[in-house]
Amino acid sequence: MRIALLSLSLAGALAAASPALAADYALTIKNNRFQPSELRVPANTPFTLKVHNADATPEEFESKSLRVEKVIPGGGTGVFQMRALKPGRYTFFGEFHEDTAQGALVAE
Amino acid sequence: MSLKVGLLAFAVFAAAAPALAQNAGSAAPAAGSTPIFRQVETKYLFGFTTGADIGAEGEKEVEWTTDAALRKRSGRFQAYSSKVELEYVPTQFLQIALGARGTYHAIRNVPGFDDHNQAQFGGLSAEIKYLLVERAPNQPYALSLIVEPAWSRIGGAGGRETAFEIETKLAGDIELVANRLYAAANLIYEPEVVRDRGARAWGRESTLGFTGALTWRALPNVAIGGEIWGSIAPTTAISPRNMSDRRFMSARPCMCRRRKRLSSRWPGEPRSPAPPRARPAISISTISRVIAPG
Repeated sequence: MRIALLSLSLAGALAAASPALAADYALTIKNNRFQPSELRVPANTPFTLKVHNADATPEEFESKSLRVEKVIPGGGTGVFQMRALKPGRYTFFGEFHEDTAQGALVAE
Repeated sequence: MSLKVGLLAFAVFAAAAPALAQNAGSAAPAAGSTPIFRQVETKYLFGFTTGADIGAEGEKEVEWTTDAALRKRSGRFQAYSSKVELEYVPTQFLQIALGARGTYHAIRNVPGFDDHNQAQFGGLSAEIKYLLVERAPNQPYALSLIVEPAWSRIGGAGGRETAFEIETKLAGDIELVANRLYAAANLIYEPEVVRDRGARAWGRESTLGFTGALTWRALPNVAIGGEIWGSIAPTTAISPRNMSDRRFMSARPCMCRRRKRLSSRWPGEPRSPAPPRARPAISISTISRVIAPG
């Protein structure tokens, strides 16, 4: 019983702590464009960025300033554990459809 | 103690604009419009000088670098050293690489040097690059620490030797004009032990060096620049023959660097459905030439 209570307390503490450690932010790729094209995220705090590709074709999410790149298959989701960003605008693009797939994270 | 300084001029070319370019967040350029200078990684922008940037997390690349030393003053001296490196970026702050080196020497009738005409396996190396200070939207500079231990079995003039060295480099750069003008500086410390073939005693040398470079992107995929470098060997206990080899090679009258990207995808991952927009295999080539070796 004591172990069960301890486990529940621990699980509760972890669940409460997780959002503070890495909140989730989401982008969607549809018709070879990012939606939204500009996403606001907190500065100086690590977070998780989930990019869902709603198109049938793959896309490569890439950013020099964010230092990430990953191919996301059609219908798939790419998950990026982002470091704490300094305030500012960090651009990204989809390499396979660079003419249209462009956007930015704004850390503030 | 020995001191050497030199100047370089260099040009950096991208095989195609998308290799250098990353979107600046604005709309894509219309056909025939003014070229847009997008963000680039600085690590290959400066000739011999290394930029502070590392690649994107998860990136895998093969880099091929060739140094050539060519002289005609007396006899014939041609020395080529090619290094192939497999690079990987496991985190957003760390880049690691493993490399192998091959050499080719064509030396004949050069006073003080044995004749050689052969290609040989030159040695192995590893590299760890850690981003100490990252560039940010309101912070145009970056700083990295690079540690490269290496084992070498062929000397600069083609002779057999066994050498171990650890090149430690502090690489900093700054974007003076956004996406157009860049400056960089490297501070280098390189301790080394070396033994000639058949010799019992090991020689030791440590070298302090610096390089500084300025690069201007004339076009989105073409950059030109200049570089100054110097080195000082405050402690030297290497046999005269080895030292002679090193001095000869350190002048490097000509260098060609070619970087070839292998892939950023694991086997089985999908590729671009639109080949014309995909990143080209060869990213950047650099050709440098010493104007005034010390």
